Amino acid sequence: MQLHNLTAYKIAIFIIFLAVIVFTILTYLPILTGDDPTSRIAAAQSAISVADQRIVLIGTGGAFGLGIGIILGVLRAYHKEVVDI
Amino acid sequence: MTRYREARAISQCLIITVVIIGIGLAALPSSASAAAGYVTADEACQEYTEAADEFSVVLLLEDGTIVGPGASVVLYPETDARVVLCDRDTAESAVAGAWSLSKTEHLKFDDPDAVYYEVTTTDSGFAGNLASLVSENRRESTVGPNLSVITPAKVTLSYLQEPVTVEIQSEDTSMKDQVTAYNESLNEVEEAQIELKRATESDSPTRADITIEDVDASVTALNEDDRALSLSLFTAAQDGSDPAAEALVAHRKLHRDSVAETETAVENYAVAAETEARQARLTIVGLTTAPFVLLGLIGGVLGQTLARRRLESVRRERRRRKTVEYSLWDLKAFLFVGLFVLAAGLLLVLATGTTTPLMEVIL
Repeated sequence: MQLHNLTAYKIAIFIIFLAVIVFTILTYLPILTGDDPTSRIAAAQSAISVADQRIVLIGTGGAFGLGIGIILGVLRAYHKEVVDI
Repeated sequence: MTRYREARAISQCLIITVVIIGIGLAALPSSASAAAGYVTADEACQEYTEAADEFSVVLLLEDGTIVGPGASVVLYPETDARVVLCDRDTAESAVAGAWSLSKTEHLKFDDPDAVYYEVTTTDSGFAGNLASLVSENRRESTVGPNLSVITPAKVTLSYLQEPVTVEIQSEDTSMKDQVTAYNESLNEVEEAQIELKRATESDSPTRADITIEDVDASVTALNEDDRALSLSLFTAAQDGSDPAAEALVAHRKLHRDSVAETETAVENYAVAAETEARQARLTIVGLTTAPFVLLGLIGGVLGQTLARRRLESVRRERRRRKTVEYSLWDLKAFLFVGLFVLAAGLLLVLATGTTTPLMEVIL
């Protein structure tokens, strides 16, 4: 399946589905690094260190959002134009 | 965790062994004293017929032991014994005045009973030949055993809830060092427990100035000191030191409890850290999702507007020339901008070194 055959809506649904999976992993599933306290605490410390880098997180989220938004916007306009023919 | 289970298994084995030995020791003295007791003075003298050309002092112990000339014996203060003087293979009568024991601070005794003196050792620290305590008229031609009376050193297991003092031989200082070492290790483990509890109750457990590796090292040191001290207490209990068996049982219980408390403190700390981590993961989701959605909407509107303008020009061109077709390639500039911004986001993650911890959080 080629990119121009996919509608922007399908891509958007795919991205939202992917985001829901990541969100679920991040919030509800246990950290799969081992049962021993050392591994559990090390994983917890990793999570804290990531959460501390706020600018990186905002920048990354923003960059991915902007990039995907532009691509989806372009694809939506293209398909709208082609369907309107 | 395996270390904790091993320590528990070892402690259970030791406790069972100690209880069995304790029962054995409790049963032994009564049966031994009933079965053994002092041998008679004549029987003792007949044991030393080789020294027939001299008088021999023989020491008889309550358990039936005969300590003759040339032999050595170490006794604790307040130990009862009998002193016999042998003339060849016959015991000399002490009542008849043929010989007597000199008054000394090293032995307590009353008037002789037929052919022996009933004596009790004192804590005066005697070390010498028993023949030197025989009356002067017999001393020159008399040989005897070497006797040492030692005061047992005492070691107090002060860390127990009800401290127990164990008597040990004064030459053996290892148990004192072992108790000191164990006490120090126990203090370190207790400090670690306090730190863990403090960290668990703090706002940010993961930022506490303590690591699980440090706690593990403290517990390992405590287990090693415990093994050495338990072995010494076990040996002392076998030797009949009073009250080594009781001390060992109390020590093992305290050790087992201490390890279990540390295990609980570590588990509580891990749970608190995971709770904090869950909050952190929600922060990560919030900090990435909000700009993702906001800038996604802006990017969508922007991309759609720019692409629509470009497509309008293509539409006008199609009206002029029928051969012109729509193609995504006409919008390549906008698609590349989108891909470039995506790549910039990826580079930002890679450049700031967030990839590994981010993957740890996700996976």
